[in-house]
Amino acid sequence: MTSFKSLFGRFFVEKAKNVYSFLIIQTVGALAFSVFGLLIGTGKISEFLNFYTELLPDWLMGFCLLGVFFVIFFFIYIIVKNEKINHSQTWRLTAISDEIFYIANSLSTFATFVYFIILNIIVAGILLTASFFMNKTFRSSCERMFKQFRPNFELNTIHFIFDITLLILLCCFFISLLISFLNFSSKAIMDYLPVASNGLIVKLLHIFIVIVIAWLFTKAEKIFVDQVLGSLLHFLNLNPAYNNALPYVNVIVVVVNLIMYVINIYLFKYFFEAE
Amino acid sequence: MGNPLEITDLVYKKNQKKIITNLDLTLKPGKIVALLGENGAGKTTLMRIISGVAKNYRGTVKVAGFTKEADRKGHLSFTDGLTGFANSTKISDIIKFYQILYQDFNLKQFEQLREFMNLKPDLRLSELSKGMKEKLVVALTFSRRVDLYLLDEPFSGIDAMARKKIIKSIILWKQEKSTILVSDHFVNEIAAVLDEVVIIKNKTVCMQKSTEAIRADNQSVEEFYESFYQREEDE
Repeated sequence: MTSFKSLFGRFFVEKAKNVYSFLIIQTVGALAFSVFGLLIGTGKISEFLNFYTELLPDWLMGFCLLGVFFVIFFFIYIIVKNEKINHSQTWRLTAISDEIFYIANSLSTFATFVYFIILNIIVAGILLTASFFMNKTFRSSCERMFKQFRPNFELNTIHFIFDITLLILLCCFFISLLISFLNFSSKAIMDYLPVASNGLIVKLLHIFIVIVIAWLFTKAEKIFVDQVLGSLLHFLNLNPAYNNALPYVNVIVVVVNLIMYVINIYLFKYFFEAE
Repeated sequence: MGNPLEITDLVYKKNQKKIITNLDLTLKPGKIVALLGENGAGKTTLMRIISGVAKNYRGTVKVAGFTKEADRKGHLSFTDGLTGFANSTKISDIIKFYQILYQDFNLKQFEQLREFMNLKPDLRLSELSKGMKEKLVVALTFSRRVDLYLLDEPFSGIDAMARKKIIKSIILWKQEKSTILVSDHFVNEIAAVLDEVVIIKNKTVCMQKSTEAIRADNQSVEEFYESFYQREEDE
């Protein structure tokens, strides 16, 4: 029998293969933007060479801006890969139960996504440090900004940052579960229907089923949020607009994720065939 | 350990179409069995059900006495098209995949088979022809130590000479008590190594006969298979 640890490790290796390619493209892209920006600004290469230390803060800014798009691109890429593995006979022949297979696959997807974000933070940190020590203007700006705003690192602020980060990550995880749910449920319905042999009709029907399920899901989710979540927050005497309800919202999102997880495992185990 | 394969009352439907109905099949240890039938008879589906990748069937499927899909997968080796790997994947990476995920994978055996099949480990999947890919699949399948080998048309793309060589060697690669269920259209070529023939028709197993009994009737396996269909058509 295959262990969870070895399968999870193998999934992670498979998914992390392109993490470095994404990161290199992002870093080089940001550098190219900052070089062209500086070249256009200075006009001549000789002048540009005198201002090369200006490059680092621009590079940092470009990297952070591109980071937003690259994190979204990577998220889409990794979710597609996740579904491809769920559908792959090569992977599904592994001697492990379907439940553990699905858990290992989805968790490794999430872990790879977090890994990509951590690598982004590391590269941004390196560029920030280099800019701080090599560019006097940038350093003095940073120092001035730090004095002006006097960031308040109280425990509450740290809690708030932690809660927000957790909520964003949980929402990303929810999106990946939702994509799996749409994939599994639509495929299960497709396998049940007496489908025509025409490929185009089958594809259109599949898209139509996905839209119907997504619509039904939105309705169910609205009822859940309005009725259950609203009642719960009311019961706890919390209003997200005035109170710090984030920890409670996080707990509720965790519960929603767990419900989605159980539904997906059921669909995966009993209806979703590998091909 | 029970029989390598025991199937009772298997029914499988997809898109409201019955593909397999009331199928019973038992295979004894140490046999090489041909699974024969026309295109679309349900041979591949049957193998996919046995290996636990096809879902939503009724009936009991036991591999080496185990009914749970995870246990079944651990006791069988199924020829897979390696579609889960990118075309840029090297053979050496696929070996790593098998080593990590299959505890019964025997690297020494694989190396022998790889040399026999003339496959270089640094080749990428995109560099392999259809025949070479099939050789790799056969080598990977037989490098696992299991009770049941499921070979789904494993030789269709392999050239005639290599095919003969591989078929002759199958008997050496399997363990004494392991059973092989092979579906192939080259009946005459695999006939020499077969112990039994199973024919699928009308969505179920309609004939299971030992090759010994077939030969006792002064027939070759191919003649038997052809005459079986002729008889059915005449009726």
